[in-house]
Amino acid sequence: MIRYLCILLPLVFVKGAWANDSISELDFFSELPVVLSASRLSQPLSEAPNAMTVIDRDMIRASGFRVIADIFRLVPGMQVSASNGWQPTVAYHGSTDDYARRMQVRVDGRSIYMPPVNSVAWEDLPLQIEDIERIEVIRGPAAASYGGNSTQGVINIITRDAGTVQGFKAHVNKGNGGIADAYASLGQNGNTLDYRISLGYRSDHGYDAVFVPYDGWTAINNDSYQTRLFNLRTNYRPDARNSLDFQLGYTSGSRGDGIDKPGGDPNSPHDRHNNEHFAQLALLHNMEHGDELKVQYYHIYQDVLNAIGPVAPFPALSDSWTNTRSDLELQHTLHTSPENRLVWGASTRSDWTRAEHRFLSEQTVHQNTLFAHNEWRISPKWLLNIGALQESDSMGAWSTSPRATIIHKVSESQTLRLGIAEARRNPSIYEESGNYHFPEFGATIFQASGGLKPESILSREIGYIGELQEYGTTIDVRIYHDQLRDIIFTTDTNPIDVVNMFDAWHKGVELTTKHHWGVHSELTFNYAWQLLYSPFITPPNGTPYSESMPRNMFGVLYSTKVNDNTALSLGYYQQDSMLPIDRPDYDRQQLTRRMDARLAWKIRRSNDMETEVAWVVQGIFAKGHVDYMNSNVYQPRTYLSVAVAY
Amino acid sequence: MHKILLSLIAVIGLAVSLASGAMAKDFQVHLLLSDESEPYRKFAASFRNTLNGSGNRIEVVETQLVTGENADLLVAVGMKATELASALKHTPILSVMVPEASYRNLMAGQPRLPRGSERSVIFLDQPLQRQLDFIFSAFPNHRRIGLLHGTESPVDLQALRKEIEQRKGILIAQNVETERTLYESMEQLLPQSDLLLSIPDRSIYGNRNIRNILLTSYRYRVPLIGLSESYVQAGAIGAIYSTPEQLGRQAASSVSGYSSTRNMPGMEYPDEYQITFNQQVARSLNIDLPDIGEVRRHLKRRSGGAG
Repeated sequence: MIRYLCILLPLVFVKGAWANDSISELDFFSELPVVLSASRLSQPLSEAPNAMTVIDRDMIRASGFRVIADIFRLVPGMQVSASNGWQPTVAYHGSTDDYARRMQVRVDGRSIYMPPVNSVAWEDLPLQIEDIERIEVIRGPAAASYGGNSTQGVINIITRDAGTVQGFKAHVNKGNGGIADAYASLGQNGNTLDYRISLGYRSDHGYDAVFVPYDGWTAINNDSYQTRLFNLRTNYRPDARNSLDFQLGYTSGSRGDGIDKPGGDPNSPHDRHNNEHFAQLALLHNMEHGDELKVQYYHIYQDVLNAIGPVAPFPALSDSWTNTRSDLELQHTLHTSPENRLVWGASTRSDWTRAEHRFLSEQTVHQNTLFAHNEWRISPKWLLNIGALQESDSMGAWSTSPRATIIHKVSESQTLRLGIAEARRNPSIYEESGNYHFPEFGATIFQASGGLKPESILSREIGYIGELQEYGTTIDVRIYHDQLRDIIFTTDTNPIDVVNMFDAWHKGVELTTKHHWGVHSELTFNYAWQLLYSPFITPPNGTPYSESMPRNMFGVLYSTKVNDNTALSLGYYQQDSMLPIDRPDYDRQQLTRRMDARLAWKIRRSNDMETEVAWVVQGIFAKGHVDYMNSNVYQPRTYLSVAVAY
Repeated sequence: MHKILLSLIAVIGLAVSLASGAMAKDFQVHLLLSDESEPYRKFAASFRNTLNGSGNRIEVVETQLVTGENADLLVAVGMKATELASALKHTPILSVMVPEASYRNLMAGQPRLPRGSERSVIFLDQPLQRQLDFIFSAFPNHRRIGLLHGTESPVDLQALRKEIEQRKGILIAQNVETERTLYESMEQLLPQSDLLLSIPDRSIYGNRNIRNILLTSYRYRVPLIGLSESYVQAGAIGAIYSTPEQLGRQAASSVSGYSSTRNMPGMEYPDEYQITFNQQVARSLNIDLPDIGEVRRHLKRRSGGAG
């Protein structure tokens, strides 16, 4: 940390003058840096080859959410839960176990889904909610554009550009349930160099202790956490055509773990120590006609120190691991004609893991991908999108994921989309060669026999987008039918194994409407109806697959500016009963309702300083529903936030 | 003294040649460029080509010395050249490719000039009417025009508001107090605006801020109208502007006119202009761009002039 700060300090003093001298013709003719380049522009909903939900900063602020995973409650069909206080889970269309392995998650193009542990460690992610510019969630297979694990969807998180905010900003949150957060950022932009540094701290006590009638004892829920975060982003522009974006991020924190069970448990209460950091470098070269070449390299390091005991009568245990990832990607966007745009590229990745208790030896997986997608405007009314991705890895997997979408502009404000996509998910290293064992007990919990086939999905969808500007309303509907084959799932053997166990069908409807009244009030409404069907198998613990997702889900976010200085927002999230796919029947979640509210006041002391006080209540009237397992009982939370900016 | 004498000789010589009623002698134009970079070179090439093609006997001498000796007319290209040339008392000067506000500022600070020291100018900026006709023709559904300005900005808010209202639009002007408050000013302005109109003011649209302005306005899905092609390449949705080549042609025709009539054009805006759109930005913001030919025809109808 000190090392990072030493690099940064000189930057803090780079300041520019407030130039006000008279302008010349050069202010018109000088080349300006290409800011809104192809990779920075998002596709309009009506032209995207998939259904897409965009969540911007204003929505995130209005939602009052403190942790990133919660934001996905604003996506129709996305289910947010948590296996404990510091391990939220985000699932889309099934996969409601505590790992979301069928969805790709990227932060500024950096893939953060880690196959060695088969999950996204949301709380360890060196990313602060305040630094997010917007999130684009692609609903449906998008492997053709985003590669492995994009079989059911892709979360693209785009962080704020280095030079977007000038000056100093800070805030603190304090609330019940141990909520104590702090954030500070400093940003400066210059003629050729911008930078932003942010420091953060986030903590709470996780789920409260509850009496679990099924087990007959009180679950203490030793799941409090403290996370310290650091981020740096710089953007250097040697000339108008080239830019170099560099990011560093770091998180470190302790996470409560273990069970305080009457009579003791080998996994006795203790703290884990999680560290993650990354460095990312992206070179962007802008060419004529909006063509662009992007080369990106990143390195991720994750380290979990999980050492327990000894607590009599049990021996000391350890379940620690270290993962690294290096990835190099090249992407070329070119306009072969005014009506045709091609994006193609290639990437090579190396994942390494050392997890003594999860593998018998250190593991390295190399993976190469080649992708291309083409967008052809056949006429002003028709747009054809065709793409494919080919992926191979050193475990011998080789797969191709194609996609085709045709978009028809029925009128200026209405669009129909017809899409078909096939995507494959190659087995992860853990599924292929994991060995979860504790020689201290002579126990092997999981032993992969290997030889798995890739999972596949064939997805068909019809989408409609209506942008009825005269009514201030946007409607986005999607009807889909997905056919999943060879789903990799755990056996009920001892030790557990994973096999290509069953096929399933998903179908459903997703609806999003947005409505705004003037510039000050906005309402987002999300609804998802989904049906999961699998005649072949009931997974080992007796859970019917069809019940592993809620049948109906609602989400509403309303925000309004009461006056120039007061803002009010209300969120409501409801989902039907469900049973997580890997939980036994006593963990069934009943219908859940959650209502959140945020009230904020701005106090402007001078032109240079602004203070905002916000009060957030989460789970108003909540009677305590269960998240993922019966010891995670959701209780209302409230916190006060004070922010200053100058 | 020496200079005055030479100028006197030149003037007498000119008078004699005029009196003889014949244009036997070449008309000499001194061309003073602010520097050697691309826009000026393009201007110079276009200026010479147009004059050469017109079959007259005008001689163009590129100079770096601002003496005006033997010059029938000095063409100062850009602000720097105009400032240097402004010291000349007796040579008629045509300034070209200069921003209107800066030129007017410079002239306001000049001492009264003696008779015969004519000053003419062809501005770089588009006339306000043309700029607004362009915006309202290209983006008919974008009626709320946002404007970021400072206290020193070269913009006549009253005139601008009147012109916008005549076109059934609304001007939403937001004062930017300091660079630090630029972002907040944008946060206030952008939710109420359909379009953001850029102005030639370095304290707002300088190199340092343009990135921030483009990113923030994009976040609010408010397109920016730029000042030039560079703005459009950077991410503005469109711009109407004149290129050095176009201004070179216009300057050549003014010079040619002056050589035969001795009438200086006075203050002129560019005759020819270019319209450029950023297709990618428009697509991303889901804005249908009009046909450029259609916009040009509309502007021509509105002005009843060239285009």
